[in-house]
Amino acid sequence: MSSNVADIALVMDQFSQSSRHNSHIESLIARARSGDAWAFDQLMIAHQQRVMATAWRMLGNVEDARDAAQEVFLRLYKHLPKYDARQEFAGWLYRIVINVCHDVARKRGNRHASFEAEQEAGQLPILLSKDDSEHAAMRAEEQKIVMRALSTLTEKERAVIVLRDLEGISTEEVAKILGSTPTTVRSQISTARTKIKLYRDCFLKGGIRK
Amino acid sequence: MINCEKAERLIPLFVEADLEATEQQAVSQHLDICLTCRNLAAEFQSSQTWIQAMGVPAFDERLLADLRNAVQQNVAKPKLEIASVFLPLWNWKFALAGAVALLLLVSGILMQARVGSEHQPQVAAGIPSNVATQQLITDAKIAEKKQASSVFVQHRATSKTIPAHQRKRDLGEAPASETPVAGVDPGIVATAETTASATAVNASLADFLTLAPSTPPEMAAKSETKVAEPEMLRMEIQTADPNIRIIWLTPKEPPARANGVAEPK
Repeated sequence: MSSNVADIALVMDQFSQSSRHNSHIESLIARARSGDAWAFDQLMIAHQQRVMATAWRMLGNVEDARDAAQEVFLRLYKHLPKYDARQEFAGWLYRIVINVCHDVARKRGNRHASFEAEQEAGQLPILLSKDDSEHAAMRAEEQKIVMRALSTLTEKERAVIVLRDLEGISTEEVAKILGSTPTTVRSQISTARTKIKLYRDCFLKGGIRK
Repeated sequence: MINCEKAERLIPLFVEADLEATEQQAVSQHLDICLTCRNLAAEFQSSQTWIQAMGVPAFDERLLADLRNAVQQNVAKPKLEIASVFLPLWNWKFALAGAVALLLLVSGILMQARVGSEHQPQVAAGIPSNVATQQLITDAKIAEKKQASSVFVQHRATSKTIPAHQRKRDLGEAPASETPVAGVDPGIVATAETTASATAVNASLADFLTLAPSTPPEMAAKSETKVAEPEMLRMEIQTADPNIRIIWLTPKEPPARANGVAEPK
């Protein structure tokens, strides 16, 4: 009984925090729309990690991700007056991120991300982990293989996997962000997960070298 | 209850509960009784865990600060570029009207240049085209009246003695011998240095002469007594060059054709 009460209290607390966070973001958006540079800076601080992470997962290297993030915030500033407060801000921002990443990927053409080169140059982002250095190295190796697996997907498949499986957004929300239908998104998710599983199976069986 | 084939198709979505509630339930029931599909679902679950274990990357704070600064600088930069000045005026209607006006202007200039080039030679000669044509026709008629008797008779007379020579001179070809032909006014006959237009007229005359029945010189006297020569029409055309005059001899009526010679069409 006491456990249930604690769970309810935790959920209520999270809801309260989320609600405060949302109202804080809305306040920043309103101020940024009226030209408040500080409010816009705070808005960037609140979303920079998420934007960078999504761009990096989509594009596969830090340099392109940084360029994409810069373009995302410029577009955000430009289109902020058109933002409809009735829609979720995060979803609207994700849509900008995905569109910018598609543009960047198109511009770079067939140039594939070189995770090995980034790793050698020490540019790979550090994963948030409390692991020791040995474990961190193993995780970095795993990360490299996962990124390779992601690189086998098409742009659309990669976008749905990044949003659904790595960002944890629901299928319906992903469909809204990508301007698609839930059925199409499910089909793309199914294909992408099958490809990733096949890649991992090949890797585990030794068919793919590290 | 669903079969294995359908279950295999739904398992990639089942592992993350992306199916509708009924389908999720159906797959779950199938996995309870099918070991193969249960193993497949476990593999997919493992793959999902593997990819999600990638974690959240933490980017360097300095990198993020540089990113924000770059954005703020771009945002704060006053945009007084030419494009931004004209952008509010930009409208597709204006663009279309401008393109049409430009097209009309260019086509007008081209047309003017073309018309000018057509009139230029006649203007340079100082004679308008219709006046020049009328003058040539009048000259031809006068020449015909004046020389109908004398020159035509002379032509007939010379054609008896030196028909080839006369024809060659009429054709503008160099004669075999430069001996002047008695009774023929040298000014009437076209000179050998003909222009391109004169050559064209001579070519058509040559066609006519080729198609006309040829009479050997030894038979000429005989044939003259028996067969009447066709009545000839002589036309003289003075070209812009005073040294060049075109003479055209043609029968008033089509000559009788020899057997086996096709009528010209």
